[in-house]
Amino acid sequence: MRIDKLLLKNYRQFKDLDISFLKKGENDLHVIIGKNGTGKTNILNSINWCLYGDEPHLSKESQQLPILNLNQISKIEEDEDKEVYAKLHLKTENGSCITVARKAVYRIYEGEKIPVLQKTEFEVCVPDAKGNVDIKKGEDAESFIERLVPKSIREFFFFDGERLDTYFKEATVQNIKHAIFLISQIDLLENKIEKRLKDFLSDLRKEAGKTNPNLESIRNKLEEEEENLRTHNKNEDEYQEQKTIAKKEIREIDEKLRGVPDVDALEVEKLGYKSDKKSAKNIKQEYMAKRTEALFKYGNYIMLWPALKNTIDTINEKREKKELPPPIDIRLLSGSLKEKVCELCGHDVDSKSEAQIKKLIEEIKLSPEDSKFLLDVEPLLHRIKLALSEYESDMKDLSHHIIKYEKELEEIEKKIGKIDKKLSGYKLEKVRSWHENRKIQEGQRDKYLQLIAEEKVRKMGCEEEIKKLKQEWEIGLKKEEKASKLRNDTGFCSKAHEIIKEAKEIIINEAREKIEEETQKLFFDLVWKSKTFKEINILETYDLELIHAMGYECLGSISAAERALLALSFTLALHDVSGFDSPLMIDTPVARVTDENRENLGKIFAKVGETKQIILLFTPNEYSKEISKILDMKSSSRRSCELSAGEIESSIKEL
Amino acid sequence: MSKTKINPEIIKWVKEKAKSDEKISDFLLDLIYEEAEHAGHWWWKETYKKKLEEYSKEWKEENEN
Amino acid sequence: MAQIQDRIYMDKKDKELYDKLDDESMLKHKGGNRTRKEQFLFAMAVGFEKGVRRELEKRKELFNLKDLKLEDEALINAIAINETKSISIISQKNEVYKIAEEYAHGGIKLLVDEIQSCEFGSFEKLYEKKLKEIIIKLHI
Repeated sequence: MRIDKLLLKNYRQFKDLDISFLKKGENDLHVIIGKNGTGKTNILNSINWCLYGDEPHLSKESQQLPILNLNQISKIEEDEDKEVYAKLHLKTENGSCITVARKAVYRIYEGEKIPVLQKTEFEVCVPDAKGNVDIKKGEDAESFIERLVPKSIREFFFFDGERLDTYFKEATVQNIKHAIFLISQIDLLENKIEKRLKDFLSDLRKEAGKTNPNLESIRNKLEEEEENLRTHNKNEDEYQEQKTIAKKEIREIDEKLRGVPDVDALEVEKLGYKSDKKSAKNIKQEYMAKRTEALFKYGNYIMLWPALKNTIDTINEKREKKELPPPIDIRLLSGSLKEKVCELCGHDVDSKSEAQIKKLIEEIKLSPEDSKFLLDVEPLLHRIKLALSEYESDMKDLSHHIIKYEKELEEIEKKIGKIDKKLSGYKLEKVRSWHENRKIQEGQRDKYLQLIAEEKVRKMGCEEEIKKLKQEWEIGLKKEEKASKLRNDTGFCSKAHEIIKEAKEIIINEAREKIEEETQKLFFDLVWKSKTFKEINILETYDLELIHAMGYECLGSISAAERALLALSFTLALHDVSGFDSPLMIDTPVARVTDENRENLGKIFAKVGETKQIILLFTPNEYSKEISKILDMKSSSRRSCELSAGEIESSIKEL
Repeated sequence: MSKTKINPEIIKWVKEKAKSDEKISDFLLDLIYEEAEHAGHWWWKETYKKKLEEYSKEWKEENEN
Repeated sequence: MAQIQDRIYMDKKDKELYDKLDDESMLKHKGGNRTRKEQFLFAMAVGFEKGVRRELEKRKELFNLKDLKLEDEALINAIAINETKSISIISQKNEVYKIAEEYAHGGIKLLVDEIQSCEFGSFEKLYEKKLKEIIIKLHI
């Protein structure tokens, strides 16, 4: 399906707009370029309003303004009606032309400035094969549009490029699953046919059960088990959802923690350094005390050295003269003189002997006590002399150790400083709370993984029981001759139900796999760091994973631009794989993408335009040369959106 | 009235899974088109009942033959 | 013969100076103060090195002779031998101690002045430097 034409009357900035999107050449790509505020986004809003009656992309300014064109409001007279009108001419794949028109009538009452809505009309005209036109109004028209372009998935064909980077933040497993189901029409199989056939089967079984109480008992048990299975499925879905939420929280926390240091680990490291610092300080102080002690002890020796040396020399001299140790005890000589008798030989001391004794006393001079003192201090003095010879090297050694520990302390201080620097600027409590929250979310994720596994086991049990009961039912039904028609109908309905279930499972998996493959292909074509990423996975649970080349999941840590490209790739893949028949309209498609990668994006858009209508609304900044050089050549139409004089109305001009 | 487009994979796999059971395949495809034509609430039970009666009768006859 | 003294004496005025030595960080030992004996020997060495010997005006007890070890006696007697140029001085104990006391009396003032003229905590560095100079001068 494509948009042939859009007509607007009195819709916001557009007093009178008649714009065709005819395909010229091979490419159904259309470009509108306009600054912010010129009404470019309101073109998208007008299409939404026409189809669904709402305007999901209104700017804050537009939200304050009425939908009726301001110039018309100024001209409107009291009790006069003015219409806001939007009409779309659509063409389906088989060539049918459908028109969709919405009208809202406003009136200004006396004394009022704001127009009041009087009525709305909504009409869809659908031609049949014979050329007759079926005019649908109100609910009928809405149902028709819902089948054609379902409102619940419109974000996959009419969307705002600036919201793309938040898509995977806000998208849950259910959103992605819902999008795939609706766009591939799996929704039709699961929620309509499968469900309704099941109800029908249940009614047929009830009727069959009335023929035989045994059959009724089997039927009741079967219904009970089927109900249990539904419950387990529902539980599993809910746990999947909760698990995805937990994973999303973890991703968001990882994004917050990106670049943030591991605070606890750093604090532990810092404590280690503080302990090392204390040890080094203690050792240094020990060496300093040793040095002070050495200075004190050696200091006295050094200052007294002349006296000490003199004493050593004197002792040596006495030794050489054999005066030390003295040959005779001087007290013997003194005693002999006093008693006038020699204490050694006992002879009388005559004058000659007296003179000899006096001479000896004169020569000896030192008392035994004094000699002993000198002999005792002699080794001490020599030790002091030796110690002094080692003084300088001892002091050097001590200084060397002190310097070594000073340097070590400096290094430790630097390390502590580095940690403090890393931690500064971060609110440590907040970072810790993120880490704690992450642990909690990991716990939640693991808890739900466990619960999912348990539900799977219970489901298997139910399925086995159901299979058994169905067999009993078949056997029981065969025995009932009265129920031959019922048996036939039940068999038919049951088989149809099985087939639709099996077909649905295959289509779901294939759709998921194909979308995964196509998303990956498109993303790697678009992204500039293609070697950084290894693959994209859309799991059976509809979790989307982006795997880094190093093997870990990295969706939470990619940039806003990369996230936008991923969302765009996913959307384009959805369209491509499902063959979903709707045009694609994107407002500000390259808002998050830098210049050099716009060329890639331009090529992708041009390629999409070969098989599907694509309408792109750019700001002049977005439509840089990288993208214009591709799209100028490929586009079927290029227009500008400009504000006219008075800045209340806009117009579209061909470029 | 133009028929709403159906995802060709759905048609392919319903036929594939039904295999030789053409009646069931036709029955399901018929239902699929009906559902595609009717968005929102509609009196589906009557249509389902009618089509079931029609196709299951033909299916029974085929089996008996 | 005169009775040998059983104490080492200081000049009464030196009490204040010995108290000031308690404040100097270099003269701390295992967290506490050096003994009076250690402070006396240090002051004596300083006085000897500077060649400043002063008579005591009014004697006051400083510490017991019993506290002196052999090494301490060696240092004190060495000063006396050097002073009198005679080894026989060692038999005149009172005289030996008098010489030591007078050098200590001369040295304590110089020491305290030196300490007080330094910035707090920098006496040790200065002292180390002076010892180096003495080593060079005396060719130790």
